[in-house]
Amino acid sequence: MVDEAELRAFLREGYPRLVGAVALACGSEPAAEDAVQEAIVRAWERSERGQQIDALAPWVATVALNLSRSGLRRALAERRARARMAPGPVASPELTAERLDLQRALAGLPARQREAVVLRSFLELRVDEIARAMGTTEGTVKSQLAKARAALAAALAVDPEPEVEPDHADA
Amino acid sequence: MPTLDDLLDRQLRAATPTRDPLDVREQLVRRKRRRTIRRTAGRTALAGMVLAASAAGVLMLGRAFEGPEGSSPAVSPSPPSPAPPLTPTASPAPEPSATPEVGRDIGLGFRVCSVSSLGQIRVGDVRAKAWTAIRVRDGRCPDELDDPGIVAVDLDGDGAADAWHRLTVCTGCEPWGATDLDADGVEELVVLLQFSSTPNFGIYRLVPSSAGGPAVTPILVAEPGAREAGFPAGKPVELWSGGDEGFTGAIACEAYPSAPVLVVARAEQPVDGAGPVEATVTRLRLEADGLMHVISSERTTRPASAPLPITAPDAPCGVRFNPL
Repeated sequence: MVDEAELRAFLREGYPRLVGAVALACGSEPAAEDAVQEAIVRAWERSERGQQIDALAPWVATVALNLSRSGLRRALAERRARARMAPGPVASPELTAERLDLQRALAGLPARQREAVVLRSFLELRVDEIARAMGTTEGTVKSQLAKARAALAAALAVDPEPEVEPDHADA
Repeated sequence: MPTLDDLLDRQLRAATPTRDPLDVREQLVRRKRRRTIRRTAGRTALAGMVLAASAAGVLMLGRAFEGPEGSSPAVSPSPPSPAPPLTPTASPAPEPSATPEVGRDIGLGFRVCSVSSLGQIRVGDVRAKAWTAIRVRDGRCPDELDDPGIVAVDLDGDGAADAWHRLTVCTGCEPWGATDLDADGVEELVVLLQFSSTPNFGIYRLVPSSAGGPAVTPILVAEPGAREAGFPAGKPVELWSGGDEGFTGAIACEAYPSAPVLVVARAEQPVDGAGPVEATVTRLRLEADGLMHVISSERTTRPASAPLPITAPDAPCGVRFNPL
């Protein structure tokens, strides 16, 4: 159940990181923020209906990633954002170039692989949490993560150093 | 050579925006309200289109089956009413201008606004009345998201409210219906708490003076309840119907009016997912202890395309649990 305290804590700690992660996945910060907010409101409405959401962050992340795939949503969110926002800080050219490469590489992944890598690498969820959020098995998540990481490393010309799944008891 | 994790971490830190949680919360509240309004408007527009299409259909059928020109209709039209006199009616004299007070006192000793009412509620021999309203604060009518308001009742039939209870939520709320769920001659009050495509309803017990009142109190779920089905013990009963992208609900009724049993079905599915749907069917009965008892609760997993296990009639237990 999402209560007020949990929501506030999430907005303080999880929200900015989630917006950043979804922005990297979909290539647009306004669209990412729009999708994340929409997902939180849906979680809020479900909670008011007494529906259980075991873990808010993975649920919101999964729904937001699904929502952010819509091209129309991206276009509308960007138009709204341009109307109300001052231009943000300008990133360094190296960072911007690297980000564009990363966004292109993420965009080239199949949707489920992209979802898995965002949940794991950006939001640092455990494999079992990702499996629950994506409605699949841990084995499938591991396989999708391995393929996604290999594809990203190849596209970005970096070392695909294998990551180690943290001990579940630590989380 | 940089590692993939270094690159991902660096980019995520650069992409993470700074946000004030209070601003975000405000945006979420506004977004939630817009969603409710949008759904309501959508349903209303759909209903309008259906009505318009029906009217057009009737007109076209009428033309298709119209007799030859000059034939008489089967029923003679009524003679036209005499035209009303053209003399203007007298307008009341304008009252001296003053700042109007917000809201009104419905009998509780304080002013309320956003008032909705429902009459003809059977409380023994008395015809009672119920209101939902928001308390006026600092001379203004608060937003229902800031103050969910109250439900008030007139239980002695004199037209003035004599008991009230605070609501936990009110989004387009109103006293919605009344039905005698425990067949004791005193109807229970059904309050629409949220007007949306997934409306929810609270059920309130009316306690007249002769039974220790006057009072209006939410009916609670008896132990052990059925938490997974949305009926945790000790909490007010809330019924949900309708549907959206992640939820479908339906309400039916058995053995009404002699020994009513509410049958509540609900199904949840992952948003944007095609996976299986978890559905529950719960049977509830209001007992003499004033609590809603869960008689049974069954949980099943079904294909996403499967309909709910029950069919909701128009007015289960005498109440239309559908504001749209």
